[in-house]
Amino acid sequence: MRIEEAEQLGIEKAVAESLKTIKEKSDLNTVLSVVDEPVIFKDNSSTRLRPRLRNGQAGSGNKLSVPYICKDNIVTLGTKTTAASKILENFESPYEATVIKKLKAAGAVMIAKANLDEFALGASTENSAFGATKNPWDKTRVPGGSSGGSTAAVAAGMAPFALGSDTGGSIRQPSAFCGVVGLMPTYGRVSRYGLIAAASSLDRIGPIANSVKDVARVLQIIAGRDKHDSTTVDKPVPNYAAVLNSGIKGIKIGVPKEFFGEGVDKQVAEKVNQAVAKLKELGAKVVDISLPHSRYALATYYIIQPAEVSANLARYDGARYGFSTTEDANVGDLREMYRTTRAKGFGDEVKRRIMLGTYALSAGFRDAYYEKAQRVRTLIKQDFDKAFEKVDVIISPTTPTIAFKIGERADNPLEMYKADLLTCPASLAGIPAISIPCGLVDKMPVGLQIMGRQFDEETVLKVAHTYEQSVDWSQTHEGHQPGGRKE
Amino acid sequence: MTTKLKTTYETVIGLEIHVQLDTKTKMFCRCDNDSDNAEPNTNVCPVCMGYPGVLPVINNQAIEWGIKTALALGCEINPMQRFDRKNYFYPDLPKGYQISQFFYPVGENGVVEVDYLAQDRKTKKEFKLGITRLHLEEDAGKLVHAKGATLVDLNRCGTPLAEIVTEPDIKSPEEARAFLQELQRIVRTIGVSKADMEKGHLRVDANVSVRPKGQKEFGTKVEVKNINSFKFVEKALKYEVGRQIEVLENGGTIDQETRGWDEKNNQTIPQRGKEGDIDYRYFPEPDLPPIYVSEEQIKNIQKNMEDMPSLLRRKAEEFGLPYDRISELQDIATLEYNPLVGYVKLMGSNPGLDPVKVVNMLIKILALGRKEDAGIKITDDMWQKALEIVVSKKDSFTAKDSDIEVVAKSILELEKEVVERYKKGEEKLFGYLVGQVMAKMKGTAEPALVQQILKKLLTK
Repeated sequence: MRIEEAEQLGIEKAVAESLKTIKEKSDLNTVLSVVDEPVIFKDNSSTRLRPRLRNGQAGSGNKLSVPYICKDNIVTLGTKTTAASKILENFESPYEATVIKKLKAAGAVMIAKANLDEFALGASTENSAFGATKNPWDKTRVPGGSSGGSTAAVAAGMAPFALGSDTGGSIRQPSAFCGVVGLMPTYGRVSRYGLIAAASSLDRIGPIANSVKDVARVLQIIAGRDKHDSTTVDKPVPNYAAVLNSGIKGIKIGVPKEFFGEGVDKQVAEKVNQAVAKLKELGAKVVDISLPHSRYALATYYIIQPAEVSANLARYDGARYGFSTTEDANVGDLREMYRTTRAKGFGDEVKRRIMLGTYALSAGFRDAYYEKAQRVRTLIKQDFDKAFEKVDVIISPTTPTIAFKIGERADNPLEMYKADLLTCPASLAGIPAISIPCGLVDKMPVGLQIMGRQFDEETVLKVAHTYEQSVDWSQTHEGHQPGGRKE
Repeated sequence: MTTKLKTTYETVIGLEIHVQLDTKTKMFCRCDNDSDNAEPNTNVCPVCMGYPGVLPVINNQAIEWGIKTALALGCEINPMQRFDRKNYFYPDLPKGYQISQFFYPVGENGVVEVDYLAQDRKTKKEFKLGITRLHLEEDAGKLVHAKGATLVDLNRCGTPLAEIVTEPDIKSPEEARAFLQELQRIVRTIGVSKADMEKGHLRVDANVSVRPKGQKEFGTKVEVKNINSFKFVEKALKYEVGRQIEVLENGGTIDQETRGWDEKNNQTIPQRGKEGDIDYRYFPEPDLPPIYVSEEQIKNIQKNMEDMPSLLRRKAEEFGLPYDRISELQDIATLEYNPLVGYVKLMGSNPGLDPVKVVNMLIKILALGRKEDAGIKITDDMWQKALEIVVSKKDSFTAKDSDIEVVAKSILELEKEVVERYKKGEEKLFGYLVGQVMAKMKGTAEPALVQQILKKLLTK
């Protein structure tokens, strides 16, 4: 379902359609909760709710009266917000996220909360306390993660768009696996207020949809400075739709050799190379570049990310909200309560990250791990800065492989971490990156990643849109529209 | 029978002080910062309760007040300040970490010159104290121990704190108390805190050690906590110093530990630490960008800074008020009004006024007023009234120039050391000398004349 199609249906019919599809395809386990009676704002009532917009032209009058699905690590009113963790199994937030407020004001209707890897830690949505999500293209495969519930829901036609969050690839990687479009905006472009933090210096909220245009429309609404998030930047939000069709003549595309080498499936790389050739045909200049420090990105990421996770997840201690062993007769004292609450409330992967992060920050190890990782992060960022002096966007595969089988990597954390190989560099650098479908390998979608300069979502979206429009999807996808897969 | 030579010991004290800043709202959310009359857990929001998904937002007033306080303590201000996370578990800490400043505090390397009235209520004593650092952080909640349960009140969560760490420059419990009282006066003067110790606005931990006189190395330090009034500061520290000396005298060794002041039994007792030896795993708070402070901002704050208590005392001395009377005026200061401010203003605009009589008159009016109305407050108006009465009585200075000169000479003879220091550049000692002459003349000498004559004698 595209946004335009949903708009044509009208909000009430679109909501009904979405709810019906969710019910029919419940075996995919994409959503954790469905809103009982979605609050539907008519166009006129949404006017009243629209927030005062700082910038007169850009953004004003933006409407998005369609249903959507929200990853369950973004807090919403009137539903539970679980982060797919037992520790927040029955948690209801007393406030709602800024992005939710903005979408509500634009007329969008939240209908369900999507499954994810617990606390967004994972790359397959298998780490959910409430069961794994299945890939709509092949139910024996994972949808990717951690926003796998959101991408699978969009791919299965349950809503015209969904919100996801990306820390090291959590929007882009499942978007690639599910054949949909997913954008990770620049760090600071979209408010994180209300996003349950995994790693605060990396976390970003972004849209997932069936087309670049749809993703741009959602970004238009959720982007902008938020006084509740000090890391958002007070830059005007450009009119993204306006640039989509302006063509890519003269645009310089960088192709980093490091993103096509070791660990990347040859067939996947081939599909991406074909896409690059297509973009050249369309007028872009292709430049070979090098991002030498990106080979340290995965190692760097898996130090900084767990370090921040270890602090962010300390608040789940059973003292105020969520799961607690306080009432357990066997729990003698405070420390025992902490220990048992967290032992029973968190899943294995969450505990693994907390341990990794606690270790990396510990006295005696801090300099060798956390401090060094921060220095390498700067080098990785500088690589990108240098590259963007020569090129406008950088293109790579989104993932090293197509979606893997459910259970295939569940017992091998390191293999699972490798799914972030090509996405975590952009995460560490704070730059925007999108994943769009670029063909099939073994009847499964392949994702093309386009990375851009900080706050230059416009160029990223324009290149992505131009490519998307140039492809005859009936050929490439064997009859299936990207994300619009019919069973 | 042999007598053992008694070792004399030297006391070394360093303080860590938390000052609650009396800002309008909390440090990282916009909850009211005043919870004095609030029911438990009512003055809270998702941010200060550490709910999932919340983010801190810096209170600019707290940043400014942090800089102001650091400047008042003579600190160098860091042009880049940054918050860090201090990680530990405790039920009064909802996020499981405290947002503090570890790597880049507000200010460092300060010096405070403290002068105070000795216990004889006559002598002025002085010492210098280094300020290691001042940083900002958020306060934690309060634990309330009730029957069979411990309850948590999160109202105080997020109240801005300025943590002040001093160098181990304090040589006696008396000096420790004197500094704390001066600190209270400073933060009240610049209006950043009510600094009421009993209410926990000003909280003190002291690191205490002793060493044989002449020994270079520090002794093992003991941290003394739970000192919650000025009265107890000296008492607790005296007890602890005595205890340590006794242990050493008996051939024992001091354990590095944390002890709490037990006000019921007047002793310090070992306290079980929160988590033993904690590794706080500090790292930069990713939710808050660094704060950049410009020279101009610092200058602006400096420019609008109130006169420090030490400056007021020095001015009063220069007007000829004896130190014990200065101390007396300072001690009747309230949160709203420091009589020394009014005094200095009054003396400045009324040359020739008897510096002591006007104070005597004010105290009389105050005593009179107290009988009539318990809530009487000292104000500038009261000084005016005192002035009028003193002037109308036409009390004049009876001493002649020659009388003053004789007395001045005798004082200069007596205070040779002070004169030496004055001549080496410690100009503020001039006020002290004026005060000494004035005291000797028992109010018969005109201060302006005393100053004139002293200047003349000193430049000879």
